Amino acid sequence: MNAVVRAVAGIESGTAFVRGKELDAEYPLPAPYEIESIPQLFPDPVKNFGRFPRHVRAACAACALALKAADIRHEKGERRDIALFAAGYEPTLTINREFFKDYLDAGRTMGRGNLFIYTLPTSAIAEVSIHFALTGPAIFIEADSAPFERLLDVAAQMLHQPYAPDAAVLFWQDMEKTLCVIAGPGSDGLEDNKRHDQLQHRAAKWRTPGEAIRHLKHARAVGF
Amino acid sequence: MVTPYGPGADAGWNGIVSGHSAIKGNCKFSREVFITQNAAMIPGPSGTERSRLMDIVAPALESIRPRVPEDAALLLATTTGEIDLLERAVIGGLPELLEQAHPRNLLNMVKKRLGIRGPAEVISAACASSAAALARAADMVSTGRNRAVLVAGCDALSEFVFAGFSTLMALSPTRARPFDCRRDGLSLGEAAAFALVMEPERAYAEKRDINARIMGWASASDANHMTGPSREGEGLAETIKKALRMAGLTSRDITSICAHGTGTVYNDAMEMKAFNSVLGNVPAPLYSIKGSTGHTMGAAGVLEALIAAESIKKDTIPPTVGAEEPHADAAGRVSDQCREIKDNHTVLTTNSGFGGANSAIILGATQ
Repeated sequence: MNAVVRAVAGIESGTAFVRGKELDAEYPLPAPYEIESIPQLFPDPVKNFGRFPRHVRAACAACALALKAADIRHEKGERRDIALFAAGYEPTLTINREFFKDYLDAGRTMGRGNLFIYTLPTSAIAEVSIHFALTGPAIFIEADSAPFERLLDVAAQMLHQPYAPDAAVLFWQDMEKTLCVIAGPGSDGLEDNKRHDQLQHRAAKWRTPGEAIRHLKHARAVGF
Repeated sequence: MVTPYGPGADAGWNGIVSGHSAIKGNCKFSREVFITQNAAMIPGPSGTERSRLMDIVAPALESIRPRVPEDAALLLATTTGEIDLLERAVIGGLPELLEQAHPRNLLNMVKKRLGIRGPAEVISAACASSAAALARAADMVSTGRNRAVLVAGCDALSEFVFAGFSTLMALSPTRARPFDCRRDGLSLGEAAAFALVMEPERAYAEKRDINARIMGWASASDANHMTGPSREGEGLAETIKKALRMAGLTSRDITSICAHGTGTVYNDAMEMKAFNSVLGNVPAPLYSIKGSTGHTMGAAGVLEALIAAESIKKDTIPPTVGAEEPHADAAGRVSDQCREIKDNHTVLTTNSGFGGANSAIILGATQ
């Protein structure tokens, strides 16, 4: 039971990168999360993109890059059975604080609806699922330790179930960094099992998305 | 389980089948500010724990601890966790309290109090959180990764949650009336519910009191809208089809449906479209408990699965409180009275949530 990595994209302060068979590139960002400067990022405009909180914008951007690199084309109107899993609660805490503060500042009358809809930890992957028409499960999973190792494990288990999604997109975010990995079901062969085990072993040591990004930025690490 | 009817599965079941709604006015939320004061709140938490949610959950943890194996994994499903800590942090300017509102702290507390040594995760999928957790638990056990998984679904009411749902104009000014022609919104509720998912061999060997068999499960997304469900219900319909395929069942095998049934116009209409498209030729009776317990958010999925399991054991399905005049699309299938279901009782339970989250679980009687 394994999952193999098909593409990796990362966004951090000053740079975005993507690694995959179909695309291997780095893009300088003029400011943290200023992803609009990445050329031809989205095949179609993302509805209400400017109103998204920045971690939601980053999730959409990282997913666009990673799907391209994994050669998963996004055709308008075409729905794909791809799962979305997310880890990293820090952006949710920040939005929650902002929503409640705004509600207090408004005299405890009405909160802002367009903030409230982003107070759930699945908000970023929900926007990703809507734009890219990904119809697999969208679930936030925060493990008691090694969050990304757990996401890989969840993907491996789910992708080998009967009637499983075709692939899984894994996100790990904090306020400054976004990691996005496309995982597909591996074969039962020795090579795929070895790649999965090696990545799991490494992921067990990552404590932050930044640590994971530092490692995965190098294509060799994921065995392309 | 802990419901607005009090602690324990018997109190929950008896309250729901009594036909009396636990949704009522309370003084916690101002009528001047919000469209309603009505909610289904758990009476009398002790106030001794650090948050309302822990006040609700703590006595239940003590009561279930002897039955939870040490090697179990823990899946804690919640939408907002200890959100009142965040409220106090913002009101009092206490940043250290803000960090405490991280659900990993709640997870670690629950794990410690239960003496669990297995892996633990917070699972969140909006109002389908604990249904998604049940599906994940079934994945974990069926793949042999874990032999036992405790699913804990819990959410408490707070000003934050009340303000949010008010902002979205989702609350009924009176009381939730799922599938009724006059339905006008949901009522919020709070609950904690726990289900231990085990491999059958071990459950039988340990002579466990087995509530039901999880036969099929699936989660999927509408990929449609952040707050509104897909009008045609195709996301939920696909989810149900997947769960049926996994169970090796057809629509004819489903003998009752425990619907999400929030009481909002769009949710209930969407669900009926999904049920009709997948199960249309076999109009299984359906019900929603949200007119009784309110919408218990992250706890709803596991609470409703436990009620569905109880309904299998008792050959009875609960009433849909508030559905006095069922909408035309649900007429003949929804009732505000208990109904008897005999022979091969197999229940489909469904949950949906913001962002287009859908989950379906199929439960059957134990062998």
